[in-house]
Amino acid sequence: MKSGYLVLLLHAHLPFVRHPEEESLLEEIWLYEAISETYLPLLRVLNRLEADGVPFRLALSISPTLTAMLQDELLQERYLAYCDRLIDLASHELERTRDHPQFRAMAKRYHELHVTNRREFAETYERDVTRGFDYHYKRGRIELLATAATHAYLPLYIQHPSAVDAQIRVGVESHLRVFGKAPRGFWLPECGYAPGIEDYLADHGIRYFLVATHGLVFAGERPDAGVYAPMMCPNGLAVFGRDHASSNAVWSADEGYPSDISYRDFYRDIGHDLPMSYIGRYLPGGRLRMNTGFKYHAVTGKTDQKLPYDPDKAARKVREHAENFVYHQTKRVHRLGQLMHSDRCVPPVIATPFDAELFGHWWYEGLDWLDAVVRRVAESDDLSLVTPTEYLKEHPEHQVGSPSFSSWGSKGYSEVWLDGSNDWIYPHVHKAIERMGELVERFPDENGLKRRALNQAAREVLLSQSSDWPFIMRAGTAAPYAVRRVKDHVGNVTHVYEALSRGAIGTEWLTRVERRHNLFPDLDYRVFSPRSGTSASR
Amino acid sequence: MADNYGADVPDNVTRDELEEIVAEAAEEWQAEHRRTDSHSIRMEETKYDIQVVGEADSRAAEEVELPESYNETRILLMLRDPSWAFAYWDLRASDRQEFQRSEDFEGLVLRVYSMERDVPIEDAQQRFDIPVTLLDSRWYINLPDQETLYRIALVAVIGHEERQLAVSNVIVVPRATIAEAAPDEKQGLGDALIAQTGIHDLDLPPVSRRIPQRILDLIDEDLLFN
Repeated sequence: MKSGYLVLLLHAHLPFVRHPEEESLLEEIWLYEAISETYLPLLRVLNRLEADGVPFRLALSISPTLTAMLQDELLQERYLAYCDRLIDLASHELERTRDHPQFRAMAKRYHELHVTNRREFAETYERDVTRGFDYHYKRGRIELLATAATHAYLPLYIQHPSAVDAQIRVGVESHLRVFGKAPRGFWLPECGYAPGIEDYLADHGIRYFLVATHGLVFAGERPDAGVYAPMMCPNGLAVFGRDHASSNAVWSADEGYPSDISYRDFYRDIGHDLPMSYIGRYLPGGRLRMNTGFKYHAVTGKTDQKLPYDPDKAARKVREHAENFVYHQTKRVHRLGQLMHSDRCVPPVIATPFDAELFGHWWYEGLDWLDAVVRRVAESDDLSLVTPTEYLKEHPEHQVGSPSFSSWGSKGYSEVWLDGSNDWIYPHVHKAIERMGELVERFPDENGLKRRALNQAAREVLLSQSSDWPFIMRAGTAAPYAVRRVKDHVGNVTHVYEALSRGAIGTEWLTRVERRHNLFPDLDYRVFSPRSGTSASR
Repeated sequence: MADNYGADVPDNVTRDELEEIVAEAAEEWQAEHRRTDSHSIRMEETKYDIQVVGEADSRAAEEVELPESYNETRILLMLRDPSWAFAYWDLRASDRQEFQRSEDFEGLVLRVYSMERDVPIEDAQQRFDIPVTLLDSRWYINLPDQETLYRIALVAVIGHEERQLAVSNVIVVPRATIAEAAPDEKQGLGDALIAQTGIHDLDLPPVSRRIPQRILDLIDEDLLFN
């Protein structure tokens, strides 16, 4: 038996952004960047590890809004156009850097990256990237967790049981539809937990979930293993606590590995550096400066005089940081093991969740680091990667206790999603939920056009609940877009509510909205039944 | 928007001046967030930051306007963290008009009740009042106690009389500290494991930072040997 275990969990999520009514939209680039810089490169890491015979276990959650976009034909088509544009830019970059040896190697890398991305996207995965993850899921190397339908931050909906239940139910159903397998684990968006959520999860067949560090440390019962063994909720669900110390080695902007001066700088980008006469044709409308993903400088330090990025130097640093991470986790499991073995016979498990898009997109070398960590752990006699389900299978008995209200947001609770910049949304979104419940009671078994309208209203309620909108409003980076989205979705619910009250649904309007917001094709509006939800919540 | 960002707006400002005030307040607000945000939130923000410079096309042309009121009298309470709750409320147009017309109407009061268990507000042990105006519709409330239930009532003060307009849901404020070990448990081992979690390093609100000194000592000791 190993001295201890490591659960590496990547959470992949983007809000549903799809605008067929517009030729292109700035915010759609969130998806294209993530496919090019994170999801496809991550699949290459998994495929390489498999090809090299390296045993590995990773946990991954892919949100339903993300899988809906990854499987959407319009966005797939637009992604290919994005690839073509970047391949064209990369070709020009090869030409431009011909006499600049310090940048030439990176120009070649970008060209190779985008050509490979396009080929794998179109041919290997036949445009559907979820297939790549499904392949490893079915072989047991990765465990996929479900998450809430539109990534709602659930503690702020706890007063509306039907909304919490709908988010979990639709999230689980979407997972089953995309991956053909019932999920055992559930990623609570933003690690947002409030007492009682475990009852909804249990109703939908979930066996475990994760909480922030203080979700376990401040539990109703003092956790006798810290966060290094799951706790069993009174209803039998296991709950893993996030290990802040190991996460911090990677997350910390100031002290984490990604801030090393040798790594590629995220902010310096040719979209801002090169003359518009050259770069303009690759920018929105030929006039808005923004990131292109072509970056040639290293972090260097707190200076504007950035040094050229040296990929070989960065690769050496990646190996060093992977070694360092595994060394420290090994040392920690020994220490934790000494403390735990004296009291109980379970080996410690360190649960370390990350936003998937941190790797490759923000931390360019992050996926190489992950690859190196997995290979190093595979050689270790002491430490082993494990999925939460495997750990629970081996070690099913744990302390019973009740986790505490918590999130991984700033200050540990709900402030990020409820402050002066975004609190105005809740009266409207709550009203939309209540109106949806009222519609279900008034129209319990509709067919035809009415049913279509009710199903669309349910989609709109779910979309209005995305944690991303209040998050973006607070961050301020695309706030007008987030404001528009909340207003659109609540407005659409109101439209259906009023039209059904008048007994007149407009087919043209409905068809237009259905085409725009086309996720959850099997959604049944009765998920918002006020009587739905766990018995504990009624 | 000025209210959202806590900006003071003098009377008689022009639209341009107002826009400038709001932009400055928003910038300050965001800078403050960047200083205090957790690592996970800062990383998440980079996902949405495409570093656009310049004015995007006006895409707000079709923006839906949401109503200021749903014409119902209600109040709802949301727990933000163990020290703060958020309340929002609405008034029926007829109630609002009645208060506006009444010469005796003195204002609205948020009456905050605290309880050990979910009981009718008449049986609540303690309460305190927060005066608000007819122009207000939301408020952040500092919660004095943990491991306590709170409920809030919206009350109109009319002359010497009070009229309870609406009562909120109950929220449960948890304990944001480490539970004491049961007398028969080995506290020392639990302390040592908790010291390893990085809990001391989390940016939790002050009330949650009450980590027993004996655990802080263990953290220091551990850092010494690392």
